[in-house]
Amino acid sequence: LKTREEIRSAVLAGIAKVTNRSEVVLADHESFQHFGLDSVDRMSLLMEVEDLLGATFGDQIGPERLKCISDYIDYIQQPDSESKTADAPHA
Amino acid sequence: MMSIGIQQIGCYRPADAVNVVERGRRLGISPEFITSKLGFRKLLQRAHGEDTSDLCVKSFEDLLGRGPLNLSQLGCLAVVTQGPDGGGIPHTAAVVHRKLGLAAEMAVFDISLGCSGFVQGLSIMCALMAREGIGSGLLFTADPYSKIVDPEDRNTALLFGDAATCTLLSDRPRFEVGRCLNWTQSSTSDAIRAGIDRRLSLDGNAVYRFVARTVGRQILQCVEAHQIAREEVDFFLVHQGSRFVVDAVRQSLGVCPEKVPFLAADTGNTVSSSIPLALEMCWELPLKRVVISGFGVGLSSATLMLKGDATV
Repeated sequence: LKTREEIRSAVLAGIAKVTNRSEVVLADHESFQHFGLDSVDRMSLLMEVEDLLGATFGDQIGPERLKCISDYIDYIQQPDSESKTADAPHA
Repeated sequence: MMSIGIQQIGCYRPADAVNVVERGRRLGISPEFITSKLGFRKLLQRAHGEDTSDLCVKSFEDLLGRGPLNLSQLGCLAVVTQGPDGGGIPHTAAVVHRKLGLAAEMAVFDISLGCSGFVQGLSIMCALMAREGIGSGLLFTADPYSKIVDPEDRNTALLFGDAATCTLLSDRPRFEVGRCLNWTQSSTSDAIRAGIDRRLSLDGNAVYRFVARTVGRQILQCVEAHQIAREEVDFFLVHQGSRFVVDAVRQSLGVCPEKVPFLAADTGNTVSSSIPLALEMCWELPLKRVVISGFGVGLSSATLMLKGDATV
């Protein structure tokens, strides 16, 4: 199971990659949309987080449900989460 | 076995078009998003009363203007479309065949595929022609989504344009057609669908996920199968779904932007026509290897290598 900090770091790293920034500072409850991520950016972020955590989110989860870092933490850490984590990121 | 490939491409780009920024403003979508993510300035629109077969005929007329064509040698004709004339009976290919006044001794059929249709259609037609010893054939693409797009639907109204192409296949090709790699992920086929009401619905997230996870991998498999480096490919002409879709494929390939051009800013996503339109735009270049990859409805993807003689 991923820790809160692992998930937070992955999301921030994902945002940095999607927005081409070297560093991102974002509070857990600050919305991605408010931060300037559009719908395509948020979908790209979801896949970046999958890669970074070695996880596969279910087809039913989309960026409309993952609006901030806290949403990622809550979703991935919930006991019946659809996400499946692997040892290594996707090839 | 005969070597069948692409000899020439005729195109039809309707004169009418929707201004994407203006439509987007009405739908509350920012010009910045349209420019940076969708990448479309115009969406081509068929004229009032112009049906799918009419678009095909116009693309055939353009083909005729590009060089001599012996109609008596044509042995097959296919139309890639999921937006047929009328209710689909007779098949649109038969309507096109009649409008062109072609000979009766031909195989004439529709291929029901979307954005992967040109690539899969090439594979089907080349196999048919080689097996049956057919020297020349026509592969049309025409899927005027203006028939099924709701102009008030934010998910689809800023994406699709109307166009048609007519590809002349022959045993005297400019481009030989390599083996086709196919993938069908029918578990998420509802991501692009038109129901009984004939209105298009699109789950952009599911399609984006499919493209990002599948298409780049398939293209790299194609390159590896030809035992060359990706840098030796002149162009990767991928389905022009939108700028961000093309960018997503390019990123998964790890090549420079020039290798994976976005060429649909002034047409829109023309479904199965987007790749032949792009190929026609590159026709005058001395190309040796072009990888084409179509993906979309199904969800499906198809990829193959075109080998050119590098002369024009």
